[in-house]
Amino acid sequence: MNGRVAIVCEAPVERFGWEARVWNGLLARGVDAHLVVARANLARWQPPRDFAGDRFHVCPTHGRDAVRALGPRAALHNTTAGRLKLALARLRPRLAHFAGPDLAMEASLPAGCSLVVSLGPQHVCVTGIGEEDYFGPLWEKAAAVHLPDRAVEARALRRGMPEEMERAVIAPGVLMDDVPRVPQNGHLRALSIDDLNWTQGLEHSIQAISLVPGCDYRIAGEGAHLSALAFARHQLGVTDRVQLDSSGNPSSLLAAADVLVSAQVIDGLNPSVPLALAAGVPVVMTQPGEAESLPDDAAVVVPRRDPQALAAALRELSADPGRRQAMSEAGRRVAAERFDADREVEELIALYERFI
Amino acid sequence: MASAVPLIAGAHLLEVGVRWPPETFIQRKLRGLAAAGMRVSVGSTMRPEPGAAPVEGVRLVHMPDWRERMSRQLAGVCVQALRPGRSSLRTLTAANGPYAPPFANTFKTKLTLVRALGSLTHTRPDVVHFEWESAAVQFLPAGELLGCPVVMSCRGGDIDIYPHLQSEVRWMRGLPRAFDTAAAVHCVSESTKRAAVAQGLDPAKAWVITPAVDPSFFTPRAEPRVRGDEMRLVMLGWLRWRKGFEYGIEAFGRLVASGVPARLDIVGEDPGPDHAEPSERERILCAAEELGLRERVHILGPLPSAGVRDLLQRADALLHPSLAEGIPNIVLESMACALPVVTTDAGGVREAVTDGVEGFVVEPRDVAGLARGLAELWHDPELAARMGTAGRARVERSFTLAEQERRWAELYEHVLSEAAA
Repeated sequence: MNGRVAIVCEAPVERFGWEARVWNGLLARGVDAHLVVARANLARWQPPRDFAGDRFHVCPTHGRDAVRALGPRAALHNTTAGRLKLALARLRPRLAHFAGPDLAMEASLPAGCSLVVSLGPQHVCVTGIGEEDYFGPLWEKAAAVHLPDRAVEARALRRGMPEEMERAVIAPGVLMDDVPRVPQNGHLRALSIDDLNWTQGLEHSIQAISLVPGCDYRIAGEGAHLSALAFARHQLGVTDRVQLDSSGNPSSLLAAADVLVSAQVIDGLNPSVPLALAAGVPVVMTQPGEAESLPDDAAVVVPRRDPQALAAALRELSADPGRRQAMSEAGRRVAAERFDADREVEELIALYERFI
Repeated sequence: MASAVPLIAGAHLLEVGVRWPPETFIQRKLRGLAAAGMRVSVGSTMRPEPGAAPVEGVRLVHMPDWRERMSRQLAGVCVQALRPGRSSLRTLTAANGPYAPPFANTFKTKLTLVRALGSLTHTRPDVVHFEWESAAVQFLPAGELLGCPVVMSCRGGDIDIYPHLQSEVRWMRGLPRAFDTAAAVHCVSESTKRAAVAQGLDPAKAWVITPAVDPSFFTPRAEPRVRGDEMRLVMLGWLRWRKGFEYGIEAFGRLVASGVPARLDIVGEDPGPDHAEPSERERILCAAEELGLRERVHILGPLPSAGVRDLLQRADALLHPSLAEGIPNIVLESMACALPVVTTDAGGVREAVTDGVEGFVVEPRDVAGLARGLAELWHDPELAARMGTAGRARVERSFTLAEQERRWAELYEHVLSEAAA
């Protein structure tokens, strides 16, 4: 593929996040791909060491950092959009792929640059909800939209995305470190890996755990909903069984889990589900939306907002190690078929080639 | 305030760390005390909105907060030092003394505290009252600095939640010290008192004074309640997770799914910067959308007291799915309007509502229980009417403003007489 691509996202960006994975995948295929990280407060977030190089760019929030990164003109542009405009003007990409809609809607692109925007479950279900035609300007401005699954696509259409909009549904690829499994200690070890916000339905899953004696539960993540979860585990009497951790390496977390729980209350596949399938960890998840599904042998799907159903599924899996083993094998198969990292990058390149 | 007692007449009460204008229930209390002859001032970090009406009988003292620029803070401290009666040295000593709040651990926070306390020294109060536990911890040295007794309120919610949060460790460290410095601690319910005692409060200092309503303002509607085409429900509270709105929406969804035509009005404001947490607005809208209730759920925003009363008078039930509470004012206001209440057993709610008498009380997060209670009220209008009447009677019996004002006067009288002795 000829032509420069800029992957644009907001800080903080993690080593094993989507942006880094795609950027590295594009570079490995010889694409002139640049990662541009906007809204970077360098006092709070330092890019991972392997992000260094002339294809990695930050748009810092603080004046002195911005001047150092973007030159003296950055002093005249003290907004996120202004600094991003400077960075993109210097790069002059043929295509800018924004990881989310908010930054994309306010960004101004250099002439001749096409815009591709990724929309995830949180964007199409929550962002701008209650505002009529919130994404209207985005549908006008974007050349194409990238969606992770059919449920998110269906919801985007309900949020006003034109039927004729150029788009690609590309399942997220999974790259896992090879971490040896931690043996079970007798209790069922449930795990959720999530941003701690209400869309993940984690209060429901804590309620479910309170109904399953002998099940330990680890929630790994960070976010504004931590207080609500800490109080929920106290109120439901499971403080000793529910562990609230900051996020870590998903491979290590999954290596010490017997089942992954996703109690998400919005449409779309939770990003932790493909990771768990690839790691061979059985999945109990809420219905991801009418347009999306996983094979029955790979995941137990329960209704949303139903802690009793979630608890029943956990009880069944707890009592049936044979089924967990079968689900583990089926999960690995599904991950290889649907969530392959190479295929994800190739499909993205095919999407970009429509505009470059 | 019928029985004005000599010591409180003319005494100066300074309320610290209150919003401006204060919440309705605090305004009511302050107006009552002013009418009884107390001089009342409020120290607040908020400024009045342009054109906002003053609160009758209450003087506002502006307290600078952390949002003030550092240069302005420094200049302010210098000016304070030069003015007689606003000794920066004294405030500096207090801010670094044994009762320095656990928050004041950086130069900026110390400076903010010195500025805030310095703005109060000229007020010369006879008694300082912190209406919230957080304010008592934040302005811990105020009593020592101002040389007068301190009263603090425990309103439930925070004291139930914070002990379980890693993020509030410093607040929790300051709480026993706040209890220690207080001459009296007002608890809004027996449940709140128990929670405070568990955190180190000497039970002998505790005064349980429950919230109250004005039954001549919150009244049942004039014409008898007639079942309309749809069940009209109200939820009210700050749009914060502790109010359990999502569980309320889920219960409402089950009610509608069971075939009851219903409408839900939500009254409440987004949390402010002092709450330091995101609003639940998106969560509510999203839950309503997911459950196919967008046409039935309406967020009305904040309403004045008269607006709340009108809404309650038109409603068929109050839905109160809260997770942590003291005794919620809205529950009492609904009962005063003869509205049956379907509520969770959070904090001191059971001290105001008996399950099956004034409404239904279920465990927090019990969505099915809430839905069942609502459905029962819809299908049995006589039961709903009986519960409404029982609620009104209970408010008239146990939660009147007159009784609350008598108890406040008693508390301040006690504190002032102890100080005089």
